[in-house]
Amino acid sequence: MQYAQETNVLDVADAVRAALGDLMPQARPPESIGDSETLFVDLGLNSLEYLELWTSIESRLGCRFDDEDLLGDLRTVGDVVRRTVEVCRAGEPA
Amino acid sequence: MTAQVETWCNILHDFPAYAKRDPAPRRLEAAATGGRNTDVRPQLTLELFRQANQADCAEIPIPDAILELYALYRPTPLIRAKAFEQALGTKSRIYVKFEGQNAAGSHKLNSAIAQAYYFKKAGVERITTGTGAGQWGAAISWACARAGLTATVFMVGVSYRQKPLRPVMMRVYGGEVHESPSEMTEVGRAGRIKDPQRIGSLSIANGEAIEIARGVPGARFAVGSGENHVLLHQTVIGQEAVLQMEEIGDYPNVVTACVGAGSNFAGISFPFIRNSRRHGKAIRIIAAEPIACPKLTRGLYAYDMSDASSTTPYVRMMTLGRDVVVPSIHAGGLRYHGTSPLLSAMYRDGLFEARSFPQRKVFETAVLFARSTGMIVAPESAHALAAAVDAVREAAAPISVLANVSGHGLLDLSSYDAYLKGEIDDGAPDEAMIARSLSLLRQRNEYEEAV
Repeated sequence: MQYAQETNVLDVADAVRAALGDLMPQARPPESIGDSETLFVDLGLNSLEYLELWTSIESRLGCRFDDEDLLGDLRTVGDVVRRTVEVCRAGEPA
Repeated sequence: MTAQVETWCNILHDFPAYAKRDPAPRRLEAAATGGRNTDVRPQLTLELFRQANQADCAEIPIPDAILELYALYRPTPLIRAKAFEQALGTKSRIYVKFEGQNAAGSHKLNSAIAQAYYFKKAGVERITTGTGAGQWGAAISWACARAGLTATVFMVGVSYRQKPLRPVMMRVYGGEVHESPSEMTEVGRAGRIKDPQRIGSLSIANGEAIEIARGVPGARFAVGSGENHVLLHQTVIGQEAVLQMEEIGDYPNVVTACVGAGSNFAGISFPFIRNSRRHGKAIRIIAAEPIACPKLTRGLYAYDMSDASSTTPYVRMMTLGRDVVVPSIHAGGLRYHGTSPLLSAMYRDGLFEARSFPQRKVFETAVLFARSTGMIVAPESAHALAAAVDAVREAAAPISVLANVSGHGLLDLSSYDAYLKGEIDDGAPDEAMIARSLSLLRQRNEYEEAV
């Protein structure tokens, strides 16, 4: 997978928050979503919205997640940003 | 000989509106939980979620590892049932697509193999599931054995007792099988209080399986019907049938299949629906259901849950309400309270029709079919034959009909025995139960009247 540009953590964070802003049942401005907020309890995502979050990030950033990328404890917004950065960077040309 | 198909037919590409997100169920979920959010991890893998929602590609390639297992039994036979035509005294042509020639004995293996593959790839170790008559339980048990996964199956109580060899089959394949409602889960214990005779329902069995999946590390819940990815996997049936009919030089005027939640129905019909849209080939597609569980013919198009755990997302579907416990008919695989959301939307839009059949008429047809062709079909599949018989009898001129026989009935011989001894009835619906359930559904949901 080729990426248009080198992964920037702030861009990823913006993309994750924008995706969450579209998905959350209670509308909130993306910039008000904090890194430590939990996806299910604080933001109220359901199980399908959780999966949609990852596909929405894919379409915003042009990356591709595998199921293996979703293993581990991904509870907070910050966890999602970190994992997205890892996946995007792993896919960048050396 | 028809070549093996190498892609799944993604009907969402033909009808992208059905892939659009519906935000309405979230209001109902909020009402159901009192606004409390809970940590509910997804049961689907990301890849299966993509398959269930993507509308951008018409054909989804089947991975080689899945094709290798499909090749053990696919392509499945499509035969003309001439002796059955003669027994009926019709000049119409009746074709049968037979999905019973595999390790599990039914079409369910088509999705079981695929799901086991994707769950294994996602690092899952154990699959939990609910099964009605046991075809799905047998299929997932075998598929898990091949994939190196453990299967935990909750089988609907009445079918567990009616078809005692199916749980044995699952155990032979390495599955762990429990009669549902069981004492193992909160859902099961609550089900036993409401249903002291332990008839059970797929809604309860699935609820038990979901509860276990949520409590056991490395476990995920897999479903045998209803969800888009399951319908997708089943489209190998219809794609083969289209090719086989072309080879024969005929094309069906009518396609019939039974409907529980809808996987075999979608499997046979989606490729024909696509053909009809792309090439203007007129076709009638008939979903056959039992009168005991008339979700298409008498249900509501409403927001409901797929199981009794009350923790799964609301979806909009043709449903009798998840609280209904359908009478203990012999076609246990058709006792599910709702139909796939995708199929429900298509039904609402008039893409197919539905009919319900009394149990004795279904067995009468199945016995006639057995005596003429030698094939003993599952009671569920016999509904498709009953619909085919109606279609040829109602036609003004000879027509061509294709019925999907989703599985064999060799583990349902006790049901045939009961029929031959005159011990089964028509399986009349429990009117009071349906009325209560629909009333509850109306109270707790926004809804629109049934079609």
